[in-house]
Amino acid sequence: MSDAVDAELRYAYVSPLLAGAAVWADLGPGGGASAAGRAPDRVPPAGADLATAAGVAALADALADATVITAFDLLDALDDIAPLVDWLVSRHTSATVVLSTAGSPNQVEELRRLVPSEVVVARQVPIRAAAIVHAAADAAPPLGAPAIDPAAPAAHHLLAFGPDASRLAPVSAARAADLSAEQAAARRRDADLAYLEARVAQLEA
Amino acid sequence: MLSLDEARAIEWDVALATWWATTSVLFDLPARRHAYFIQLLEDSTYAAGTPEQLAAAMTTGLPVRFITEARWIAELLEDYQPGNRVLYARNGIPKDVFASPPHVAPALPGEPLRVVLEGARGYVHKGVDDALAAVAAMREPAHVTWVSPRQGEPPAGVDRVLAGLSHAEMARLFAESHVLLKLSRAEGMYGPPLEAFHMGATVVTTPVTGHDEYVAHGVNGLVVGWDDIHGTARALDLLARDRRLLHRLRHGALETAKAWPDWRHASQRMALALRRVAAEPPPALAPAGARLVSDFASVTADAQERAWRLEIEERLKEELAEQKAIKLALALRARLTAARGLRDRVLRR
Repeated sequence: MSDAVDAELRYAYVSPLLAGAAVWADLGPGGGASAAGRAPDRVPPAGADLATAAGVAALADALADATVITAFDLLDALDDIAPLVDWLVSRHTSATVVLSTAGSPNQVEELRRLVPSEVVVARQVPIRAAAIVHAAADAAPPLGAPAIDPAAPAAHHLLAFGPDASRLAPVSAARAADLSAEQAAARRRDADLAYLEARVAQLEA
Repeated sequence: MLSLDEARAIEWDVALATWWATTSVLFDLPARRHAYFIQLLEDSTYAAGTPEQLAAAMTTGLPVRFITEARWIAELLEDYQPGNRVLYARNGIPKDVFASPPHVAPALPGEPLRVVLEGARGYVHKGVDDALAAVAAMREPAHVTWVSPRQGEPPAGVDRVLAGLSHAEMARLFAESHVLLKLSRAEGMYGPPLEAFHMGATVVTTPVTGHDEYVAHGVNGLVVGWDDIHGTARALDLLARDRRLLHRLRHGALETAKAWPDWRHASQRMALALRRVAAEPPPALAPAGARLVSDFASVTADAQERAWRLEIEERLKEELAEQKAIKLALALRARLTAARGLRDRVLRR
C-alpha cells in the first residue's frame, strides 16, 4: 500500500512538467504512472537491455524526440548504470530528466556529482498517519502539515536536471490504508516464504 | 603497462594522477583533460613542515578535475577550489575475499568478547598505542588479537599478535571477531571497519575523517571520544556485557556491508566519473590559481620561519665559538680524539 502511494507520488511530482510536455518518455519500470494524468508517449523498445551500451543505443533512437524523461526505480534494477546515465546526461539540454533511486545517501551523492551541476535533489520521506472518524460519517479529517526533519532518512531520492527541472515543487499524498488488502498481502508473502523455504530444504536434503 | 616515454607518445582523453608525486609528470602527457584521483589528504602522511608535506598540500591547487572516494574529501576540495565540482566514486570491497555470511550468529554470554585491532605502534595518526591502552584497561573478559606489521610478544591486554596476514586471512580473522577497535586520527575513506562489517564484526571507533561514510553510532558501531582511553575501555566492556546490543550492532554492520558496492560496481562508477571528466569542460583556472597563491603564502611563511631559526642558530654558534671556555673545550675534545686514535692503533698491534 505505502509502496503504491510512494510510486504514485513520484508521478504526481512530475505531473506539472508532463502537462505541457511535447513528448514524455517513461522508462519505468515501477508502477504508479496512472498518477501522471496522461499516458507516456514513448517507452523503451521491447527487449532493450538498458544495462548495456547496445540497449541504450536502441533507447536513444526510440526516444530521440523526448522532452521529458522519467526513470523511477530503474537505476536500482540495472547491473551497470553507466551507459544509461551517460545517455541521460547527454540529453540534459533537450530534455528534462527526472530519476529516482532507493539507494543509500552515498549512492545518491555519487550520482548527484555525475549529473549536471544544476540538479534538483529531492527526498521522498514516508509519513505515518492515522485518523479517528465516527462510524456513520463519510469523514475526511484534516491531516495537518507534519514536520519533516531535514535529517529524516528518505525512502527514495529524486534527481532532476534539464530545462524545466526548476519547475518541480514539493508534493505529498495521503489516503486511507486498506488494511484488509495489506493483511492479505502480508499473509500471502509469509505463506510464499514458508513454502519456498520448505522447498529449498527439500531440494538441499 | 607503458613507460612514461611510451605514454608521452599517445594522445589521451584523460590523464589521471593517483598520488601527489605522480602529478609531477601529469602535464607531460598529451591529454584533453587532466584529473587527479585523491584518496586522502596526502600531506597528512608526512610530518608537519617537511618538504613532502608542503608539496603534497600544494597539489590540491592544481587546475585539474578531482575524483575522490570520500565525501568529506570532496567537500574539502570544493572549498579549496570553489566551482570545481569534485566527482565521487566509492571504493569497492572485494566481496569474493570479504564474503559476508547470510546472518550473524549471536555471541552469547559465556564467551569472551573477541576484539581485533590492527596497525603499527608509534604512528600517532593510526592510534594503535591508544587502542592497546584501551584493551589493557578493559574489565570484562575479552580475547584480543593485535594484527601488527611485526611478530612479537603480546603487550598487556593482548592475547595474541599476528603478523603478515593476507587479505583472506584478515577476512577469516574478522569473521571470528566480534568487534574491531580502531582509534585513528586521520583516514581517507576508512576501509578496515567496512571490511570487518562484511564479515559480521562491529566497530568501536573515533569520529575520524571518513567514519561518517558508513558508521552510525548505535546502529552498526560505537563512536567514542578523542583521547578517551577509559571511555573506550568502558565501551568495549559494555559490548562484552550487553550481548543483545553487540548482536544488534553486528547485524547493523552486516546490513551496511550488503549495501556497499563491490569492485565491479565501484569500477563502473569510476568509469562514469572519468567519462564525465572527458565530456565536461576543464575547470576554471581562477579557483586553482587562488588556491595555489594561498599555498605560496603558507610555504613562504614556513620558509621564512626556518630561515630565521637557522640564522639564530648560526649566530648562537658564532657566539659560543668566541667564548674562551668553549674554545678550551673544543681544543680538549680534539686532543682526546687524537689520544683515542693512538690508543686504538696501539691495541691493534
